[in-house]
Amino acid sequence: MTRFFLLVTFIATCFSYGFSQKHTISGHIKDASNGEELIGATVKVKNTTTGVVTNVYGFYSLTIEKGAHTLVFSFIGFNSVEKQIDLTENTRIDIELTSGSKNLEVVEISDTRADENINGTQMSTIDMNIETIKKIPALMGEVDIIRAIQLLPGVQSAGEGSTGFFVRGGGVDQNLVLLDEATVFNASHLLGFFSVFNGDAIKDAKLYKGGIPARYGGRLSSVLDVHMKDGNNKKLALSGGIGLISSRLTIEAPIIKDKASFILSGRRTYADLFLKLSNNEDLKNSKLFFYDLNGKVNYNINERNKVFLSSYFGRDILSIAGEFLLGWGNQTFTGRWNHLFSDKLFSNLTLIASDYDYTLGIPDGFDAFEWNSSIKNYSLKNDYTLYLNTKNTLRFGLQSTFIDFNPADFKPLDDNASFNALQLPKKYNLEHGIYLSNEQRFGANLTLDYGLRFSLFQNIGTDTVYNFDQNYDTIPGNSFTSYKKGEIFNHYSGFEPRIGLKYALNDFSSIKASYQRMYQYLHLANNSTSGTPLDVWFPSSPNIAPRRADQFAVGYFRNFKSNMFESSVELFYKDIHNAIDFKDNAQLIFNRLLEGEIRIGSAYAYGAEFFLRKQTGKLTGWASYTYSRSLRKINSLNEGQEYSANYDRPNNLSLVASYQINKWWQLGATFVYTTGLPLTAPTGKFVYQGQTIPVYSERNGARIPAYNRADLSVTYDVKKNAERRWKSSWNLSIYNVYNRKNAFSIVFKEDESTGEPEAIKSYLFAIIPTITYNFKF
Amino acid sequence: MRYLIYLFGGMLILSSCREKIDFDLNDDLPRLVIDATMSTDYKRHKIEITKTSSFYNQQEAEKISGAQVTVSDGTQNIVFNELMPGVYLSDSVAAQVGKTYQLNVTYQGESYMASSSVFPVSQLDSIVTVQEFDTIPIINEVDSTYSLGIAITEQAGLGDYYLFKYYINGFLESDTIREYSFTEDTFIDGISFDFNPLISVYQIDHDNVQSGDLITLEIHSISEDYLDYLAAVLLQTEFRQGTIFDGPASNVGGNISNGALGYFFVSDVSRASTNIP
Repeated sequence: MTRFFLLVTFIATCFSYGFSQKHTISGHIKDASNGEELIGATVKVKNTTTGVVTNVYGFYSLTIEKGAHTLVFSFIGFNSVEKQIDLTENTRIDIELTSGSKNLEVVEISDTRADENINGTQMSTIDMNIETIKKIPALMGEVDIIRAIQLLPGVQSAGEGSTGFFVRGGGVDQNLVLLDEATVFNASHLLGFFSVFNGDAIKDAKLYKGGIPARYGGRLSSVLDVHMKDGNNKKLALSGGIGLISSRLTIEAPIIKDKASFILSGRRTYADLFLKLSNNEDLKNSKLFFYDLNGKVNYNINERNKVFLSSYFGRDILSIAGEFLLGWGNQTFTGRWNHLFSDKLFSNLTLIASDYDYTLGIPDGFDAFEWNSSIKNYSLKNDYTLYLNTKNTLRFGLQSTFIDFNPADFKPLDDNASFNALQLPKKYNLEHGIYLSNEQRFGANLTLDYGLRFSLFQNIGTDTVYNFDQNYDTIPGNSFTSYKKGEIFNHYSGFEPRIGLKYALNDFSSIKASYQRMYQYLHLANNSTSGTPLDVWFPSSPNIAPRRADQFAVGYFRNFKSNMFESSVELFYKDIHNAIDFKDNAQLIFNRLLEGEIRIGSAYAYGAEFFLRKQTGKLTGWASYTYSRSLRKINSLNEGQEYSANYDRPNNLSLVASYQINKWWQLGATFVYTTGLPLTAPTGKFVYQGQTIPVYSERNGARIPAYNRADLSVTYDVKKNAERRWKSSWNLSIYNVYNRKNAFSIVFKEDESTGEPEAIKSYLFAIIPTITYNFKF
Repeated sequence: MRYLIYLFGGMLILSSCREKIDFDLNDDLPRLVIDATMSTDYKRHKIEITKTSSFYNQQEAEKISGAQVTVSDGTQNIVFNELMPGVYLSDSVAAQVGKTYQLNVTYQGESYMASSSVFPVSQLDSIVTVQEFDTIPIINEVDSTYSLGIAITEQAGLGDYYLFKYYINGFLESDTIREYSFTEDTFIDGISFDFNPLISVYQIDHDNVQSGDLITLEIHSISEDYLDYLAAVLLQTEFRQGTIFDGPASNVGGNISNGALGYFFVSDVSRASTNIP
C-alpha cells in the first residue's frame, strides 16, 4: 500500500502548482436534434495542437492561457462550430452540433474533424458509433454491435453465427462487457446468434483491446464499454422496425424540456408466434423467443449535477411442448450521479447491480424439477477526473463489488419425487479496485498516460472448499473445509500498472506504445467451441489462483488526406499466467468438485494488426487484417505440449464498405476471410464394448477449411421522408451472398446405418436474405 | 441424472445442415486395446485384446494373439488362456467384494497393467415390466415400450456408482456402451424405490419381446472412474454431433498402463428377473 500513498502525495503536489494565469473552459457537447451527449467530440484551440475530447458523458474541460482564442467544436458526421472567446475567467460553454450527413447530397469532409487516432494516447481501441454499425449488412436484419466488433482487427469470432468474441488471443470470459457500467455476464441471445444489445437503445460502444485504462479491471483481455442513449430531451420521438424475426419499438421524450428525458426500447423475436397457428397442440405449446427491454431516465438537475437511472432486462425462453422449459437472461441496473465539484473536477458516483441467471426444468409429472443457477453482483463505484491543466488530466477512483454465485440449485417439484434436491455450495466474494492515473503532456509531441490499479479479491463464508491432492482427487479424511458465515477465509491481491505513450511525429502521424497488467478473479467453466446459456462462473479460491495477463503493444498511426483516411499498424504480445483449461472430458455442470476438473498452465498470444478506415465521403468503411496466434501450455493436457487455443485463427481479413449513392439509396457490403478453427482430428480408432472410439494424438493439431463469406445490403430511405415527420426506410440484407457452406465443425464417426467411418461437416447458415422496415417519428 | 445435460443438449440441436466431406487423416502407431471385465459371479471370465486401426479402416479390429494374461488378488493368480485369437478365458472363479485385483498382460516383451477394486452393490429386490405408450411430442408418433422398473434400496452414503445390463431370455441386449444405463447416487442416495413411482432403467422396444419372455436385469457396482470413462465414451461418440454444444475432442483414457487403451474393471453384481406379461 505504500506505493499507493506515494501516489496520493503526488496528486497533492500536482494540485499545488496548478494555478497560473490560466482559466478553464468546460461544458457539454450535444447533438442538436435530440440532446444526446456526444462521446469523443473534440474541442480544439484553432491553429494549435491544444485540445481535448469529450468523455462518455459528453463533458470536456480545457484549461488554457487567458486572452482571445478561437475554439473549434467538432464531431464526425456533424458540422463543426467555431467560437471566438475572450477568456478572462472560468467559462462554461455548452455546444449543440447539428448532424451534417443526411441533409446534404454529398457528405462534407470537414478539415477540422477529429484526429483522435493520431492525437490520443489511447491505442488498441476502437470506438463504434451506432450509426456506423447500422450500415453493416446484418444477419436476419438484426443490427448487432458484437457482430460489428468481430470485423475489427484483433477480434475473432467463435465461429459462424456466434456472438462470442475473442480479443488478442484471450478467451470469451476475458472480456469485460459493460452496459452503462453494469457487467453483462452473457451477451448472447438465442444460443449466441444475436447479442443482447438492441441497436435502437445503444448510443456508442468502445472496445479496448490493449492499453486498458486503470479505471477498468477484472478481465484479462478487453473491455467493451457500451452506453445506452439518454433519450431525446427536445421532443417526443418514436422509432422502430419490423423484421423477419423480430420487431423493435423505441420511445423517447423529454420529461422537462432540455433537462430531463427518458428512453424506453423493446425488442422481441416472434418466430414462435407462428407456432401458435399450428394445429398441432404440442407445437402450439412450444416456445422459442427472446425479448429485451432497455430503459433510461436522465435528469440534469443543474449545470453541476446530473443523475440517470438505466436498466436492461432480457430473457430467452425455450419450451418444448410445455414439457420442458429453459430460460436465461441478464438484468442490469445502474444509478449514477455526475457531479462537477469545479470546472476541473468531474465526478461520478455509481451504484450498479447485475444478474445473469438461467432456469431449466420439467414443470409437470413425478419427474418434475427445477434447476436454477445465477451470478449476481452489486457494485459501488466512485470515479473522478481532474482536468488539472492542459498538461495533466488525473483520473482516480475506487470500486467495490459483492459477487454472489449460485452454481446450481436443483430441486424436485413433486412431493413423491424419486430423486433428491441438490444445492452446490454458493460462493460469496468481494472484489475491490482502487486506481490513479495521469495523462501528462511533455512538450508538443510526447504524451504519457500512466496509472496504477490495485485490486483485492476476497472469498467470504459461508463456503465449503474441497481439498485436492496432486492427482486432483479429494484428500481422503480431509476432503473439505467449511467456513462460517461472513468469514473472510482467503484473499488475493495485485498491483496492475498501466502505461500508455504517444509520440507525435507530425500532425498526421504518431507512434504509440502501451503496457498493461490485468488480474482476473472470475472464471467461466465452459469448454464448448461456442457459448451455451448454461454458463458456470466460478471465483478464484484457495484452489484456483487468479489469472494474470501482461500485454505489450506498439503501434504506428497515420492519417491521410486531411484525416479522411486513418490507418494503423499495431503489434502486440500477451502473456497469461495461471491460464486455465479443463481436463479431457471434464464435467463442468453439477459438479461440486469442479475445481478438480481445472488444469492450470500458461498461455500467450501475439499478433500484428493492420487497419485502414475511411470515415467520411460517399464511400466509408474499413479494411482490417490481423495475423495472430494464441497458444497454451497446460500441464497434463496434450501430453504437456503446447497447443493452439480453440479459437486460434492466424489469418483474419475483414472488408466493410458502405456507399451512399444519393439521399435515398445506400449500399453496404462486408467480406470476411479467416483461417479455419483448430480441429482435433483422429489418428486412429478402437473398439471397446461394441463402441468404436476415436484416438487422437495432438490437440487442435488440424484445421477446419478456411472460412469466407460476403454479405450485402441495400437501404432505401423513402423519398417522401423529406416532406413529413414520419420517416421510414427499407433494408434488404443478404447474408452469405455466394452461399458458401462454411464448416462450423467436423466430426468423425461411423455412419449410423452403414457403419462406414466418415468425416461429417456441419454448417449453420446458407444464404439468408432478410427484409426490414424501419421507421422514425 | 448426472449426464442429463447432454440429453438436453441433444434436444437443443439446431437444424444445422450436415454433409459428408473428404478429410485426410494421419495415422499414429497402433496401440493395444484391452477389454477386461470380471465380477463376483462364479464363472469363466473373458478378456479380449485387439489393436487400434486407422480411422477410415473398414475391417474388424485386428485381434492380438499370444499375449500372457493373468489377474491376481495378491494371493491367488488367475490365468487367462487364449481360447480363440484375441479372446482369453479364465477357469471358473468368483471375485470377492473388498478385494483389489491386478491385471497383467504381457505382449511382445511389453507389460500392461491395471487394477480394480470391488465395491459392494445395492441389492435388487425385484423388477417389473410395465407397458407404456409414449406420444413423441410434435410428430405425434406413438411409441410402445416396456419400462423396466426396479425395486431397490440404494445403500446410504454418497459415492456409489452403478451400471445396469439387461438380458432377454438369457441373451445380453444392452451390448454396446451407447445402450448402457449407468448412474451415480448424487440424486438418489439412500432412497428406497418400489414401483411407485416407477423408476425405469431401460425402455424395451415392444417389437423386441413377446409375452412370456424372461427379462433379467443386472446391477453392477462400478468405480467413479469407470463411470467417468463410460460417460467420456458417450461424449466422444454418441453426443458428438457437430453442434455448438460439443466439447473438445479428446482421448478416452482408460486405466491400463503403458499406453494401452480400454479398461479393466471388476464388479459386484446383483440380479432379478421377471416375465413379460
